Order: sequence, then C-alpha cells, then structure tokens
Amino acid sequence: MIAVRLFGGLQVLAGSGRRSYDMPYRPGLTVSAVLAEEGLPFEGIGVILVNGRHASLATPLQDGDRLSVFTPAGGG
Amino acid sequence: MARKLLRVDVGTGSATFEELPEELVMLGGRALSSAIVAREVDPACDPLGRENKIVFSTGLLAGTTAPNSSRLSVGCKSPLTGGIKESNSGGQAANRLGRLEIAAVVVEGDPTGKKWILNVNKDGAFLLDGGRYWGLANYACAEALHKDFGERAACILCGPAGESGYRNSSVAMTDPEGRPSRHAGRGGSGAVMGARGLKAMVIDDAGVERPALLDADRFKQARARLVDGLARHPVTGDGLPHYGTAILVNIINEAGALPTRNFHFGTFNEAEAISGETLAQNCDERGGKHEHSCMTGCVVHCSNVYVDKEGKYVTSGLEYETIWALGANCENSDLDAIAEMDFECDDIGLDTIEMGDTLAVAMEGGLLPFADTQGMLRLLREEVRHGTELGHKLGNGCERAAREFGVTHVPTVKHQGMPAYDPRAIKGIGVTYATSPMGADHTAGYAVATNILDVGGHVDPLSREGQCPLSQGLQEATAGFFDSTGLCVFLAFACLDQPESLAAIAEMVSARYGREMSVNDLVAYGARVLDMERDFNRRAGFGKEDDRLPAFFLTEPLPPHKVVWDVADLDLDKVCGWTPVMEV
Repeated sequence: MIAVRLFGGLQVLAGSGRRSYDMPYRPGLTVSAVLAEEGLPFEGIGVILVNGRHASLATPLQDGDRLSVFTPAGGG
Repeated sequence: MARKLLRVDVGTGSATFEELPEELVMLGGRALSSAIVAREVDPACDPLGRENKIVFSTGLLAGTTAPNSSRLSVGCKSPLTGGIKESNSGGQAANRLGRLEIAAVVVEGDPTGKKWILNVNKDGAFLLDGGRYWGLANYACAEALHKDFGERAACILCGPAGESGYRNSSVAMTDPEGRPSRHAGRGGSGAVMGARGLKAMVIDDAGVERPALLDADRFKQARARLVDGLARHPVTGDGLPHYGTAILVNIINEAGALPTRNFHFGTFNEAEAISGETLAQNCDERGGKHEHSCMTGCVVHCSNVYVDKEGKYVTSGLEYETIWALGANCENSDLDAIAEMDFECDDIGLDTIEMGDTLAVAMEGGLLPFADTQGMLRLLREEVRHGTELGHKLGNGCERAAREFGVTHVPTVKHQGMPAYDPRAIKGIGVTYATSPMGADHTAGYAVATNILDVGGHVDPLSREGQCPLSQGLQEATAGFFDSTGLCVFLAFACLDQPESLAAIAEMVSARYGREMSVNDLVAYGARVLDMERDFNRRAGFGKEDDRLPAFFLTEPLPPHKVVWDVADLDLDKVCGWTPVMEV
C-alpha cells in the first residue's frame, strides 16, 4: 500500500475531495502515476515528500511508502 | 524635507527633532536601530536599568507606496538575551511615522516614577501624562487611545508584561482595524519601554503628504515590477493569501521537523487539527476571515481574523509560530484554545514563541501535564496576566523558567527560545539560530525556504553540506533588503526566485533618495549591519561559545529521521567572523 496525503487545496483540485487515502502498490509506480490517477494537474503542485524526504514527480515508490504532496507554500 | 530623528527624554519630558547625521542618512529599520543602540547604549549596561534606550525606526521605504513597507523595527539591549535586539512588526505605526518623515524615535532617560504617552502628529511630538492608561491591557488601552486621539491614530503599546518588567514582553502595534494584534515580540523590548515609563505612542498623520520621491517615475516603475512579481509567484500570490503562515504545520510535520513535546519529537500525531487547512476551514464556516492585511499597502494578505463557534471575535493574526508554540510543542491540539491563548498573549504583551517554549519546559518540569490545555489558559489568565510570583517565573522566558523548574532540556540560543523548526531536521535554520546576533530567531535567515519549501533552490535539510553559506547569504540579504527597508520579509519568497524583484527593491531605494543603491550594495549593507550587531554582542561579553546550539541537539537523535546536529563549530565561527586560533 502507498499512504497518500494531499495538503493545501489539492483535494479540491483532484475533484474527489479526498485528503488522505491508501492506494494499492504495484511495481514501477511513480509519484506522477499516483497523482495522475487522482486527476491532479501537475502545475498546481509544490513540495513532494516521500517518507518525509524531498522527491519529484519521477520518484519511484516502494510498498509501504508515505507520499505527502503540497501546494506551493510559505510562511514563518 | 529630509527624514529626521525624534529624541525623547522621559526624565525631562522633552521631545525634540534632530537632523540625521550624514552617516545615518541611508540607514533605516534594523540598520538604523542597531546603529543607534551600538553607538549610544553601553553594551555592559543593565537592560532594565536607566542607561538602556529603546529605538523605534522606520524602514527606508516607509510611508511610500512601496508594497508591504510598514514594518517597524524596535531596538534596544535585550533584557532576554543580554545582547543587541531588533524585533520588527507589521501594523500601522511605521506607515504613519514614515509619512511624517520620522526615521527613528529614540527614547531615553530616567523617568523617576513618571508615566508617559508620546503623541506625534503634524504639529510636532509631545510627551503627555500617561498615568490613566498605565495598567490597562493592550486591547483596552488601544480602545481608550483611539477614543482620545481618533480612530486613524496608530498606537504602539507597552502591555502589562512590559509594565511588570517581564523579560518576555512584546511591543504591540495596532492593525488597520485598530486592534493591538501585531507585535515586535522577540527579546523583551516591552520591558525596556516599560522601564522608560512609556506606556504608548500615538501617531496621527492627518494633514501630512506622502514623503517626496527624488525620481517618482523610476520609483513607480520599479514598484509596478515588484507588485507584479509578488502576484505571479505561487507563494506570495496564492499560498500565503489562501492559508496564511499556518499552512506550514502540515509541511513541517510531514518533513519530520515540527518540534513536539519540548523538542523531543519531530512529528505531532494531531498536527492536522491545528493546521492551516483546519484554520481556513474554521474561518470559512464560522464567518472569520483569512486573506487579512496587517498593514496598509499589503499585497500578500497572509493574516486572519479568528472567531469562535458563535462567530465572535477571538484573535487576529493567528500565526504558524504561535500555533506551534502553544500547540505541538505543548502537545495541545485544540486550535480554538490556541486562539484564546494568542489573544491572552496579545493582550498582556507576550511573545508567543517564548511563552510556548516556557510552558513546554514548565510541563517537562512537572508544573502541569503536557496537553493540559485548560491548565495553560489558567496560567496565562490567572498568573502571568496578574504578575503573581508564578506569573513572574513564567514571564521571564524559557531559560529562566527551566532553571526554576529544574529542567535541563532547554531549546535556547543566547538565552532566547527557539522557533518552530527543529534544527536537527532543518539544518540551515539551525545555523541561523546559532549565528544570528539576535539569538534563536527564524526570520533572521529563513533557510526553511530552501531546505523545505523549494524556494530559492533546494539544499537537503538533513545534510550539513551547504547550510552555512545558505544561512549567511540569507542573513545578509534579510538585513539589507527587508529588515532595513521596512519591507515584509515574506516578499523574499518571490525575490528568492525572481532576480528582477530583488532589483526592483534596490531601484525603489535609489529613486526615493536619489542615491544609487545596487543589489550588491544592499547585500553588503546587510553584512555591515550584522558586523555592527556582532561587535555590540562581543562588547556585551558574548564569545564564540555562544554561537552554538544546546548540547542535547548533538546527542539526542530526533525521530523520525533519527538525526542529530552535526554542523561543525569551525563553520559556524566562519559565519560569525571569529578568527580561527592556530593550534600549537
């Protein structure tokens, strides 16, 4: 399973309204494939973390990974 | 008309205008407050004694139409750190002072029991008897002053914490709605204002024109380029307006760097309940407001107005730092209660970061259990607000409270409590905490942008590689481009990715004063400000051993990444300009 967590307004962009869900793992799965299945436009995406480490759309995923995706953000 | 300096003597009751000496003419904000403190305040003095001064200085662009240009710098020798302090805030005061062409207000002298307020308007500056305002909390005081001096007047306030001499006391500023919700929080400046017997400044710019621009067309064009860049950048144009600074709760938590339970853990299981997403949802459902501005001329609108379930006002400007300090750091996941605590801190005049750090060490010391939300509220309302013996123990900051409660796990640098990023998991901000002349301060060189948010490139937050040059560059740019121009540091999110926006700031400064300032000039300017502040600290007795993080960061691995602080001391010393000693 991949634990997917969407933050900011991403669940609105996805249209499904889901902020947090598990997705079955399959070999060869990448970040971009997960986001494409959720219907997320890549241009609205900021930071991507896999298990708390920075990743990119091309990053391959392993079974049991936690994928966190954010809209562009700042603060302090 | 040239900008001028207003010198206020609380001993004689005089308020007189002076010309700025040539060497100070191109200084503003932090550069000016630190220069005045460095040349006029004895670094060895008692910060709460009669020799200390408090300086309020406007940025080089204050009072103009430059966006977000109304930060006000408050400078002094800090009662919390014992070093030089500059803490800046939004609100309306800098805009009003800027329109009156006042570069700085220097408050000095021994008030010998007198209580003052300072009224500044187009006719001059007047110290008036402030006895009837003394003792009022910030919201009541702002209301009374607006009644007496008009709604348009901007107020700068010393709250009950400052009156009591708490080393954690802020200087409050009123926002566009007249609420004292904006604070120069860090370092205890409120107590220095209180020690001068100055309860408040009331500034009215009625009948005053904007300051003259030496080259109005060039200024206008540069301003337009900067405003366009801010609107185009996804952080300043979209992220900050939508969710405010609290959007960081989930990001920093997912990155494993959200200090939890007095910096013992890097993630908080209940982060979602106190996140920016939850805050925005509450505002939408209850009739609160996000996309609020804390100052006239703001184009980012990251502030908010938070209301309770009945739609009644609770607080304004509920920020990430506050939510973390009084939330995750104390294992408190009740956002409504955090909003109430934010109101208490604003009303009493306390820095929320230092207060959260203090309550967390008090919890570790057994004064109350972690996650005891009602206990936290009770301590603020019944002890800290009323200056009881326990209130004083909690009002003097994290490090002093830790001594009182026998706690050795104390997250401070130069005696100032750490903000909302664990330095083991975001090492760039750790360098800033260690090396800023201000003590543990995140705004002084916000490496989180590049370590976590992918703004201005990316430097791996868990590696020590590249963190010192990153922090040093950001500290110099922050001091030069933002803290000294009076521009909000959040503009840096766009400027880090847009060289043309950075150039527009230099052009606005050049056009305002008719003196050419390039981007490189402003970086060098920032470096000189840091040198001046470090020199003051050295004269105050600080050594290289003070540019370090507490030992537990080096020995206790932080979950979930199991990382320790491993940036080399020699690299920190290079940032601070300490000369290496030859080993014999």
